[in-house]
Amino acid sequence: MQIQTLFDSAATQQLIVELSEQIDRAVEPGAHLVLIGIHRRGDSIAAAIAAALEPTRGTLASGSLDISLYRDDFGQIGSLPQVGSTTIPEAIDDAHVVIIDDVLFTGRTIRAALNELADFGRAGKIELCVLVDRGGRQLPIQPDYAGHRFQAQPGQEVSVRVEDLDGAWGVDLVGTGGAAGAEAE
Amino acid sequence: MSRPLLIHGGRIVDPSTNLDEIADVLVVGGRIEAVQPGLAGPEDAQRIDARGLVVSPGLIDVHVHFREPGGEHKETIRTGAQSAAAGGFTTVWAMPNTDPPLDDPAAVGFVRQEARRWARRGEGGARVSPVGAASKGLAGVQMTEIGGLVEAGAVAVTDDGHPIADPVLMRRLLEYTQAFDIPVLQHAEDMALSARGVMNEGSVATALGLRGIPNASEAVIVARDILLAELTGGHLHIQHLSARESVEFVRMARDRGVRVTTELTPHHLTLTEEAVQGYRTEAKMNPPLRREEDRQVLRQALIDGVIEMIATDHAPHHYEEKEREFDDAPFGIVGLETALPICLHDLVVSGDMTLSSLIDRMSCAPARAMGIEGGTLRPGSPADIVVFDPEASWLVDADQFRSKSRNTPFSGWRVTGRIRRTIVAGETRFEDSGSTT
Amino acid sequence: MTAMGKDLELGKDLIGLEDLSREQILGILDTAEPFKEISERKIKKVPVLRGQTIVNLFFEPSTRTRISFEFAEKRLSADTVNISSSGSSVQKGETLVDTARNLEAMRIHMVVVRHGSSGAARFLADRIPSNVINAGDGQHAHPTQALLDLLTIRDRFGAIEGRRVCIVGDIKHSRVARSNVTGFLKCGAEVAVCGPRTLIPAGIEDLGVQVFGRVEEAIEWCDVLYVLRLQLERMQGGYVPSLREYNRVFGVTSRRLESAADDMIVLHPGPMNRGVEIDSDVADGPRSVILPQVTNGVAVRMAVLYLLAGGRPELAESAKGRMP
Repeated sequence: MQIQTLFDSAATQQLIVELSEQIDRAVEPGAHLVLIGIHRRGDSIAAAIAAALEPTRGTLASGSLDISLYRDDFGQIGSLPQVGSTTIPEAIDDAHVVIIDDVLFTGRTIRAALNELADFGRAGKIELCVLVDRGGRQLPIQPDYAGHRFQAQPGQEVSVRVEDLDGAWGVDLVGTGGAAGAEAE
Repeated sequence: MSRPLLIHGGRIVDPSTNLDEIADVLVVGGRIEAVQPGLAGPEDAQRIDARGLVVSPGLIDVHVHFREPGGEHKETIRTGAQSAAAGGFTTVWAMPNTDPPLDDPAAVGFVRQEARRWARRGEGGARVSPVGAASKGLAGVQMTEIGGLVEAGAVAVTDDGHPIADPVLMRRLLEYTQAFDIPVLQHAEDMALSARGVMNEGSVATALGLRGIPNASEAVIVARDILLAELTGGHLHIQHLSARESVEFVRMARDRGVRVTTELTPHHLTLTEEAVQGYRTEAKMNPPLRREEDRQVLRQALIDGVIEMIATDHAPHHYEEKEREFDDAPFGIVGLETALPICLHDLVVSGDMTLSSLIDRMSCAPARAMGIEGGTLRPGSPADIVVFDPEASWLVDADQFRSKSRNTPFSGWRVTGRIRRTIVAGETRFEDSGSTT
Repeated sequence: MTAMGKDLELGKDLIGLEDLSREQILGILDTAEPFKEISERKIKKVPVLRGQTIVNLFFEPSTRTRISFEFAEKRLSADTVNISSSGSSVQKGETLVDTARNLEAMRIHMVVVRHGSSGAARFLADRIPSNVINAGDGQHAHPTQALLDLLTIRDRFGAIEGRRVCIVGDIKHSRVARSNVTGFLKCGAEVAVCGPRTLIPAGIEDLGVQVFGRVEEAIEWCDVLYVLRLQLERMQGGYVPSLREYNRVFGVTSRRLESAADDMIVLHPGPMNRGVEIDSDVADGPRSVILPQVTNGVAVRMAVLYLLAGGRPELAESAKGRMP
């Protein structure tokens, strides 16, 4: 399996800094900003963005969503997904929520996340922030903030490494593309 | 009367005459004419080639349930008798727990007549001897008209299906039956101690959450009835022993000269409570399958002759009746068509018993103990004969049974010994061409 | 997205903990953890079992277990149908095998069954393609009760292995006791039972269980005291002379608990006979985890439903082959 590094640790951290700046510019000051990471690597990125925003925005409310129970392929996949924990910090009614994930591919994870988030309350506004948008959407979902956009081949996988789980930051492209069938996101 | 019959070249195994050698058997007029090597026989005799096969006195089972009248969907006298013949049995004793029960002379007469009627029509099997009810309606209260039952053909009395619980009734029965020289057959069980149990009491029942029947439930009645037999001098026959403690009491009774005889079923000989695992209703019987210690003691007692006979307790039940929750399924299994192969396999192939001893336990001993005809090839005796292949190995397939019912725990077992021909009064009632699976 | 190991494939049915490995039992408890949070949400519902039909088939009256299952099913968005029949199937005239065939014809996904006969859940499971969950069969098993008890003990002590658990009361007639003995032993606990000898089933020692004749000894020995309900009909069976006598000899009272270890906890599967097997000040006292048991019941049942529903049918067959 061919592995190509798209972004090394320093470059990945630079992407996160840029994402933080985009969010800081776009979200009006004084808004009730809540960052929700998608379990598990979205959580790490959300924490990094929250840290970057702290000087200007103070300590932000942040949470984590596990979308296993909202997947649309339950019972079809080979093994059961391990259900992780979901923590939503407080009432999100009328908040400005930014959902944060590592890679945007088919859009099905974000569809599930939106449904799940709706069960916690009625957010004033929901935006999507991803480290990498690799194309290949199957649903009408687009990111509001993306660290890097490119069109990967169907057989390729974009793999994000985060410091707390993988030891260092990074973005890899796995495989040469052209393999049949879309992988699960 | 049928044609003379010459069975030649077989291995004659007849413990009643101490015979175990290659010889011919000549049957004339439904009776044994001669047993010796090199018999010519009359010209018109039907010749049966028994080379490589065993020729023995027909098997006798003093404990079967044929369900007719009242339970014809499970078994009839016709299918039961044919099933018996297919298992090598030439005489069976049909228990009276039918509906209505065999508690009056007409009912007893019906069973005997019915068996004879089918035999005359060429669809007969083993001889069927009715056993009369010991108490009216098997209710355990009032003694039946035993004299009348015996006149109508009853060979013994019992309330089997139920124990005779009342010790006074048991005493009276053991006294009253002496006039007719018939045994009282007892299903030894203290129902209160059994407490609606459905299997042996112990760790298997505990793990399965099933109500247990303790060994003592049987043994207390065995002990009580032995004392009553000693008191009265009557002939007590204890059915289907299952508990090792019972064997101790029987051994003691023997030493004291009490007139007590006993039987062991092929399933108590070979199976334990483990067979119930998975809630298998085909392993639900009463008395229940016990522990390995019990099985070993019973098996040794049979080998030693303390238990003198094997009886099947052939208890047919319809498929649907067994296909339900364990608690609600009826007790009992069919046994006639598997008895000899199961016992041969367990006792003789293992080397723990001679073939001659096994034939004794399944034919000569019951005849001797109960004082009935059969169980011998002595000239002049009725020509009740079984011819079987002692080596043939085959898989038990309940779908092949002649019995109407299929409730057996032995399905799929590989067994040894296959019945080739069963002859009753010189007439072939069962024949197997000889293909083995 | 991590995939669970093969160990967590439960097969088609959950009939008894004897069919599961320690890893499978602990895996169910792990799966139950995130499900606890769903019951704390504003909208207590996730869509994972949307479109799945679950029949709660109760041949015996039960309020707690049925409601707990129903909450679990509804919080997973399953469609549920309750069928209750207080009489036995035999009295009703329809055999269990007919019931099974009818359910099969209605194309349902899962059956939660409570039945008065031991083995009835296995009987049903062997005859229909739907998943079957045993919600109590006769005196045999009540696996989800044992799982929620294990979860409650793990919540308190962090681990089950090495803990000393004593079950007090009518062991003989209790499916809860049987499932708990199996579950505790599989998870590495030391297990004892205590009660009048008339209510201790024959051969229980052969299962690897100690027997205490006196409740005082049991209390001193254990970390977890599991108090069973004394069925009032046991009086008629002559197993114990009277309720007063039972309370006098085996009742769990705060005075008796004075000799217990400081962190010893008390469980009860409910419903309680206060003043018979357990006194109110114990049931409502600091050692009691009876209400957490109820909360955990819903989470554990959600986990079981989730795991069974997600298993592929072809795995059921291979799982059966693994069972002893």
